[in-house]
Amino acid sequence: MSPIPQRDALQPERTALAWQRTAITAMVVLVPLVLVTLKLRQPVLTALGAGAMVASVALVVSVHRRFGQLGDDSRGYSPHPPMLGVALVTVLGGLGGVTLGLTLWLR
Amino acid sequence: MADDRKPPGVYGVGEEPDPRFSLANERTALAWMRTALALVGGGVAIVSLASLSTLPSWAALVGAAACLGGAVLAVRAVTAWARVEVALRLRQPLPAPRALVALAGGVVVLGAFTLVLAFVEIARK
Repeated sequence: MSPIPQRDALQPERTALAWQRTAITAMVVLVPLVLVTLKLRQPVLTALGAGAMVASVALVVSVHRRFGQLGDDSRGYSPHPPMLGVALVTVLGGLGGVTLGLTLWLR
Repeated sequence: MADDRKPPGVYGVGEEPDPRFSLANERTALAWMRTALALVGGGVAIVSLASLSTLPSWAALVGAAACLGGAVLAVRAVTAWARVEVALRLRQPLPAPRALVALAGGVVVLGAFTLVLAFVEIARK
């Protein structure tokens, strides 16, 4: 434990904010993908982007839960499952962008 | 009490480290994840511009490359988090951040490629 208790309390707060920023970034990044695929009439890519957006909204909501867990040192916590969720959203968005980019390039 | 946290490959070894170090590792992984998301976001923006305007077709290829880089980096963020957490639990030296070199190299290559193509495009007009 830190000799300065206030500093200890800031660690969970910074971590919760990092989750919040990441979840919001994931949500914002996918908006142009969904809009462009809608305009280009690419239903599969639109569905992919929309699915990833729903997942990122769920991540924003789950940040509140994570904040509660961070305040309780007695409970073991693994950030791996939600981190896999963010990675999945990012990979889905990335693959959507790759597919769209290649489609436009080969057109 | 048995530790049922996942993945067992991480939480099944060593001892519980100082929570501050674990939280710092978690934040670092999230920072990598945001970098990956920024790459995907930038790539999607380029691809969007390429589809909505009269940009040359190679612009879409540059956007696709950025998206692919972001997707790879996101997976890398999770694996790097696991490697660092295991090192913390085993009281071993932390692994070198090799992804930093790859990221810098990738951004430089993509930037140089875009610059060369832009000059070629200007020279053609």
